[in-house]
Amino acid sequence: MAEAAPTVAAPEEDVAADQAEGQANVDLFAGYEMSAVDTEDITLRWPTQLIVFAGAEGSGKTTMLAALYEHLGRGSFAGFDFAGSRSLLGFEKTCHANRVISGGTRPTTERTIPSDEAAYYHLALRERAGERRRRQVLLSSLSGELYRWARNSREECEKLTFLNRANAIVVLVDGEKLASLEQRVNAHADAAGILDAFLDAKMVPSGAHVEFVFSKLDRIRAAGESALAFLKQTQEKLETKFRARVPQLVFRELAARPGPSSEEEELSNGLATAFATWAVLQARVTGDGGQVPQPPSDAREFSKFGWRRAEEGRRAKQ
Amino acid sequence: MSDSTNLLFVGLSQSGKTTYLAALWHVLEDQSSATKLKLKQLSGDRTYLNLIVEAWRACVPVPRTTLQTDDTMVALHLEGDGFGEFTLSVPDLGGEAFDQQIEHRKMSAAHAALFRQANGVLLFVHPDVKKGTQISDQDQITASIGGATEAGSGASGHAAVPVPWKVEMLPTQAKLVELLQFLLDLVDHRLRVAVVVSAWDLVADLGQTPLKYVSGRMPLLRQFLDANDDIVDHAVFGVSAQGGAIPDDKSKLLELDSLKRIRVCHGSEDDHDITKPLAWLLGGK
Repeated sequence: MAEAAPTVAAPEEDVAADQAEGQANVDLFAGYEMSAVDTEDITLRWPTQLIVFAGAEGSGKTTMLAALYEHLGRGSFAGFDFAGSRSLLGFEKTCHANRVISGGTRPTTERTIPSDEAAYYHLALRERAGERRRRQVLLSSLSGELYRWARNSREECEKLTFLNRANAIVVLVDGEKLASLEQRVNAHADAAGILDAFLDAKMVPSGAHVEFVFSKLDRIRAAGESALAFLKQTQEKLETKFRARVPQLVFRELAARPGPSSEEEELSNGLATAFATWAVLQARVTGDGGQVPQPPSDAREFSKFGWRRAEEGRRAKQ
Repeated sequence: MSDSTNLLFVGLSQSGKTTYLAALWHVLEDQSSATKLKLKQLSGDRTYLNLIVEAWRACVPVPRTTLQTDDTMVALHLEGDGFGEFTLSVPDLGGEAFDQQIEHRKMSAAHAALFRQANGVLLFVHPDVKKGTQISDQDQITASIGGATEAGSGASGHAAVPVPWKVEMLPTQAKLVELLQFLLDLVDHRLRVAVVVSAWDLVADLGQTPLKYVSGRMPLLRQFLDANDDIVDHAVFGVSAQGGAIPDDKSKLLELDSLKRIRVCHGSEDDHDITKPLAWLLGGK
């Protein structure tokens, strides 16, 4: 019944049998980041917005994901209330390096281990105003190494099949590197190379929302006018390079986890505005101008069908 | 009102479930105070209730329900204005079992069956919550009072973490949301959840309502309950079942009328009726 929490508990008859034995346990959902198969419990039940954070190592993908959860942990965020998550432990683990209990002395994010299996983090949200619609959001944040490999090889890029399901692709330009004279050209090239590889391998679904996000804006600002000028110049170059291929390309500047400053509120508002955009489901357009089929709006009815299908699939694999 | 009603006490270890049950049994058996629910008749095995209430009356720590003690099913035959007569079944489940559900991602079949049959839930939380304070928040506070933050603060680069993450480090609000998610997976009907902030005497001086307290200390839990208002009705109570800290306040508590030790806050109401959360779960206001 809980829309926020699709079940993987054993069917009732199994439980009755378990009770008779007085021993067996009921499996609960794992709670960590999810595999593509795991996400079917959600995507087959409800319209789901997949947001992909792409970028080079250290560009701020995982920090972005952690910051979104940290904001929700403090209260309503971006016009949404937190309505549940199938990956609460995954989020908590991701946030650990910024927790006092970690023993650390400065906010950080643990490096994401490269894995062939795409990792998704789930958020169930409820709009705070209007019709108070529910939103299901999956966030993908893979290791930067995989994006480097994708940039180096079309074959590797084609392995990132989840991109074909993305509603929003957010390519991060590492603001900290952009603030460094030595590294800034590479920061620009890394981000441009990743989107170039996606487009070349035809991995960007038609109608998907594509953004370049200049991350760690607080670092860029702290570096002074020269860094800000380089940011502007980088945006112009990216615009020139991609606008024809991605007509709806959006640019944004963010600091997901800004350091102590008077600008903190403004920077947090920037993340809220961005997330509100990414999280709202948009009808995608197919190559021939049609609409990509969306799950029916009657999510409750659809959920029953989806759940049965997901369950059948899960059992068949066992 | 049906003849049989199943209510669950859910909460982490030492969140006050058994102390609440002991105080409830004292009030019901005493029958001298004005309460929304009253005991209709004595029946069944009352050994466990008498064991815990004896400790409660003497102001000594009430024996904890642990994994080593079997979950104890308590049946109370009650009545109340607008509720009629009914049997209330309350299993006293050990908090450690809930902790283990979160860590090991398994639930005993017996607990799953109880979850499915639940008509309502008392979700207990001790006010001493684990908050999961963020280093970046701490830095903000330090900066706001003019202190120096660690060099490089605000960076989001990778660094080794001295203390590895463990499930048991989860903030209280995340654990409670997980427990509610487990529960909502198993029930197929609209559910009432009464959040009981136990040991309310520890935080009553803050002057906040219980709802305000939960909103401030556990915003994720508050959002979860608000956002799922199409499947969950919720209310928040502050309950001081013991009346004070044991053993520090023992002498003072023993001097009091035992019924006056209990304090129940709901919104702006503040009285001694410990049956209030149960009455609310049963459809009262």
